[in-house]
Amino acid sequence: MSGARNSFVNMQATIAIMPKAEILDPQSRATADTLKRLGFPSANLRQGKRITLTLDETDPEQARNTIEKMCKTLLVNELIEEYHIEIHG
Amino acid sequence: MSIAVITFPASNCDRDAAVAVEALGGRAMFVHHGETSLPGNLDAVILPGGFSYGDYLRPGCMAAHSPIMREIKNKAEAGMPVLGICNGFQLLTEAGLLPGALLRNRDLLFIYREVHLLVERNISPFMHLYRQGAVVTMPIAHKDGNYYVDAETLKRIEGEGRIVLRYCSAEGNANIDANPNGSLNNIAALCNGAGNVLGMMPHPERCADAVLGNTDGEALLRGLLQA
Repeated sequence: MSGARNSFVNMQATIAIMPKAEILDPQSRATADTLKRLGFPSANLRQGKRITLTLDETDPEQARNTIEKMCKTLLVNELIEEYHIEIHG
Repeated sequence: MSIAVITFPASNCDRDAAVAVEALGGRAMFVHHGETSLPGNLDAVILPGGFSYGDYLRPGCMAAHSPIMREIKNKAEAGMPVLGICNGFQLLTEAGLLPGALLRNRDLLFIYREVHLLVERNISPFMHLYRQGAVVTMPIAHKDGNYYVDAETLKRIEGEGRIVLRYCSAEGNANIDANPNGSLNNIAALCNGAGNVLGMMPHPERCADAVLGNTDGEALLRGLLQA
């Protein structure tokens, strides 16, 4: 399994960034209200961002560390957002 | 008195700020965001309004990592006055020079109108020409001006008296009806612990000349020039 992963030169990853639950999110509220107006059942809806990236990296752990640093430095504002990293190998 | 006005890609109030500073007798110098040092004999820095980097990712976040920001952080920590107006305020929070974040406005609208502001603190070097408790009028022009910070920090900055301006009614009541964008505690401007870094959503540079119909912002810039 890890051998197969290591054969990839490029590591693909996805970062899902969502506003924290306690943040007032008028954008999601407006989207949910519009769905309701269109006749859909009420949805507890939150919307966020999804970033995909390809790293020139063979080690998934190293890739995760790099992406964590990217998130903390620039991609995410942890005061208002939370994030989840997925490494696709 | 020399003031550097930093120009980022898609800053659009940099010239307004420079014109206002020069009209009051100061010297304004444009500094490109890609520079790594500020001019010598500098007295203050203005981070102007606009939509730096098209507000990509989050307003102000790309600009907060520009080459010039390292130098501005050093100067701010050494006590140099730094004024962030609108996008400049967003940038100061993203750069960690002020606590909090500016979220999308409560009603999702871009708001461009004059608002009443309560002068909560008349601290030097920005506000010492205003009377504490005065109500002034300045324009706001933003879509992301909804000030947010965690409850613990809010309590701390309120306790330390770091809220400088609050959105209020004409009579000076900072209540929910006078809150244009959903900002916590009607916060329109706040400073750092030392008082030399001020972030504000209203635009003093747009109301510093009688020809524009309002001069309530003039005292802020004049105060900065006299500091």
